Formats: sequence, structure tokens, C-alpha cells
Amino acid sequence: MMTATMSNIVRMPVAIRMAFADRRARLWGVGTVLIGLVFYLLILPATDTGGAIGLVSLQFLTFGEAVLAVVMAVLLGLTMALGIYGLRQGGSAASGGSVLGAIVAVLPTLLCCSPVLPLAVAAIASVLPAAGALGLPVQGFVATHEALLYGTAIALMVWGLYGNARRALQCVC
Amino acid sequence: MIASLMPTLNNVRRLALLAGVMALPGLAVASPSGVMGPKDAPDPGNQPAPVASFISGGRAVSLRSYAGHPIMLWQVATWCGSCRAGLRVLARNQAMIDKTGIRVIVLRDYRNGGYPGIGITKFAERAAPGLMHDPHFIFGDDTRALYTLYNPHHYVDVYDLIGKDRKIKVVSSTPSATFGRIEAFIAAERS
Repeated sequence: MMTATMSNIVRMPVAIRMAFADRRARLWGVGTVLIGLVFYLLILPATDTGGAIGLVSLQFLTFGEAVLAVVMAVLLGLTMALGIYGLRQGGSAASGGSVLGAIVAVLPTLLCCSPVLPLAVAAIASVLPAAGALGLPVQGFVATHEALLYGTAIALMVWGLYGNARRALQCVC
Repeated sequence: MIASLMPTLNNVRRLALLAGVMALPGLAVASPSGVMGPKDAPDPGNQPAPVASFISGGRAVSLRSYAGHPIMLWQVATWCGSCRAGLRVLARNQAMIDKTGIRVIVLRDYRNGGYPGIGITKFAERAAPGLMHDPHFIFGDDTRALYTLYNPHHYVDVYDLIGKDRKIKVVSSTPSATFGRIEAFIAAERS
């Protein structure tokens, strides 16, 4: 099992090359990278603007956030290309890890400092009054654990990429 | 026939899910933060600014102490990224602020907005040390009374702009994204 996993990891570049040799998979992959990059570049610095996204958030973009945006966009693009390739070869796409990763990646922006969480908690609290006290501690936790959340997001995306690479390799076999 | 379609349906569902995630940032853009959030809080309609006190330098200070000055009363949580960014934006505009009579009162939310964090002095030292000894900037801690009066919804990054006439002109949040409103207020109070 361990040997097979290692073998799949070593052969991931082969799977990516195969996927990018397919025109449609390449188009989807590159498109996803470009769209993902623009979105992440706008969204990641929005923790500094209380959730305001656009040119205003872009002004607060740091070097670290730009690197994160590139990494996450590339991971999503590769997963998409491999998924499309797998589908075209008659296999199945498994994007669970990437989906979770992409969701976790936008949590800090959505939850820290912007009113999204207070509004959600207020809605819940209208039914369950005790839940009303949870909003701010959750915001505080998200704001002080951004690195952990981004790390988790990237790990989940890598997991999704690995799953799709494995399936693409199986399609060839 | 149906069984043979199942894998295709699963794939379509997964692709739809991935497409949904790709659209998530877009949803964030369209989130209600701009409409229902405190950035666009309703016009306070020149309501009188309630008198309250905060703690600065270990003593209680009344807002009355700043009579004759326009005030920016800003409540922050020291763990909040946008608060840090907001203080840096104010520091970048320090020269402009110093030319006016405005007093910027930066208060750590009562109980730091419900999550532990550093004190207000350390927060200011880390984010904008140049403001520490500027008489236009006052750093302190919320009292429960002030927090209740000026931040009833317990936002973590919210400010009130109070005119020389002691009336609340603007309620908004996140100076890093709304500095234009502060600039306009300063200009209006100078004229």
C-alpha cells in the first residue's frame, strides 16, 4: 500500500503531462489557474479590508498572499485538468479534497472581521439564542489561525490533486 | 441503462461541485457585507453623541474632554486583521490628520470582542509605532457602558465620526476600506 502510494506520488508529473497533452483538459486547467489566480489575489487580502473585495483589497496584497494565491490557483488548475482528462478517458473525477481545500481557503476572508459570520450567527441565534455568543470567538479564532487554515486548505488541495492523478494513471493502465 | 448512466451523473455532480467552489469567491464578492454590514450603516441623522468614558493610561477619560474637537471614535479588537490594516492606513495619513483638530480615539473592544489578544498599547506599537506619541491619537480600552452605547451589535472594527457640535455624523467600519469617508468628514469639519 505504502509502496503503491509512493509510486503514485512519483508518477504524478507523468499524469499531469498526460493531462496537459489533452487539448480540452489543458484549456480547462489553464482557465482554472487564471480565474482562480484572479479570485485569490482579490480575496486573500480582504482579511485586511473587513471582507471588502476588489481594487480596495488588492492594495493590501502582500508578497506572502500573492505566493499563496499562485500555489492555490495552480493546485486547483492541475486538479481540474486531471479531472477533465480522467473524465474524457472514461474514468471518474474525485475533487473532494480540492473542493474542501478551496472552501477552507476562503474561510479567513469570509469569517474574519466581515459581517458574514455575525449575520449567520444572528440568524441561528434567532432560533437558538445560546448560539449568539459564538460568533465573535469564531471570528477571533479564524483571524488568529489564518496560517493553519491556509495550510489545511493547501493540504486538502494536494490530496485532491493526488486522487485525480492516481485515477488518470489508472485510466492509462 | 440507468446503471450505465450513474457514473456519468456522478461525474457531472462532482464537476458541478467543483464549479461551485470556483464560484465561491464570486459569491463572497456578492455577499451581503456591502449592504447590511456596518460599512453602509444607516445615516445616524445627526443624533447627539452619548457621553461615555473609556480607560486610557489607567484612568477614566470622558468623551467630554475633547469638546471642541471632531472625534473619530474607533473600536477595535487586537486580533483583527482589518483593524491592524486600518491603523496603518491612518499612520500613512498622519501628516494630514495632524494638520487638523481631529482626535482619533482607538479603543480595544470590551473584552477584546470576545476573544483574547494583546493589549491596545502593544497593538499600536506593532501596527503603527509612529502614532504612539502623537497627541491627535489616543489609545485606550472600552468600558462596558461605552461599548454598549457605541457598538451595540458588537462589531470588531467599527467607528463613529463625531462632529465639533457633538453630533454623530457617520457610523462605519474598517477604516482600511473606508478612509475616504473619514477624509470627507475631516474636510467637512475644517470648513
